[in-house]
Amino acid sequence: MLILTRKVGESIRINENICITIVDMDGKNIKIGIDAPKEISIHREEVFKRIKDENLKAAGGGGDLGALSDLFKKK
Amino acid sequence: MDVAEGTRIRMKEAPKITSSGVPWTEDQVIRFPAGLPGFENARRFIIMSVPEHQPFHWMECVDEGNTIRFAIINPLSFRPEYQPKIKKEELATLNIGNPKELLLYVIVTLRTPLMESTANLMGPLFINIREKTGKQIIIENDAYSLRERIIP
Repeated sequence: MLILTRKVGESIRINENICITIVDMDGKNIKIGIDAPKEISIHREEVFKRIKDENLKAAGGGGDLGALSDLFKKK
Repeated sequence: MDVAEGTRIRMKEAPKITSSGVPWTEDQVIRFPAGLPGFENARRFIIMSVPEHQPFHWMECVDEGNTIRFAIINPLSFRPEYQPKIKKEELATLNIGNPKELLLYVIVTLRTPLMESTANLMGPLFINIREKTGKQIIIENDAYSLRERIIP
């Protein structure tokens, strides 16, 4: 991992089109601003990981969808 | 062969079969250019609707060597009030011009017992039916559950 030290107000540029700025610091909290093209998805890592883990669990491909459908219609 | 310029030659397409044994054609394919979180290389899917499975469908990957499939459902069929807040920029990447072009699904996690199966309302699938492209969009706020019971 590349590690850089920055002060509040300073930035890091990734390629030509992504710029990450340290906006503010308050104790352990660091506020970060990100300028990036709209097609780039930006998420908090823990949120992304929860979606990923749930996708992995859902992708089994097995299971009786017909039976689930019957349960759904009966509810 | 004497063919005028610009003439389309129709090649007879060999029928293709998904890994779960369902025939499909290229015009059914929905592209997910970024894949899905956890499956970044799964780019092309088809949605299969079997009458006995309604309101559920299968969304199956048709990329070579990739056999994953997801059970999906329109979230409005069990949560009519579902209205995730999506950033304009996120929808712009799908080129949705008209809400009628939009198909909305969520992924179902089948569980044992089946009654406890859940749907992922935090990561809905948005599909542009005109361009046949899709994206799983992550809802960052806590308004919706990652594991919402489908059958209460």
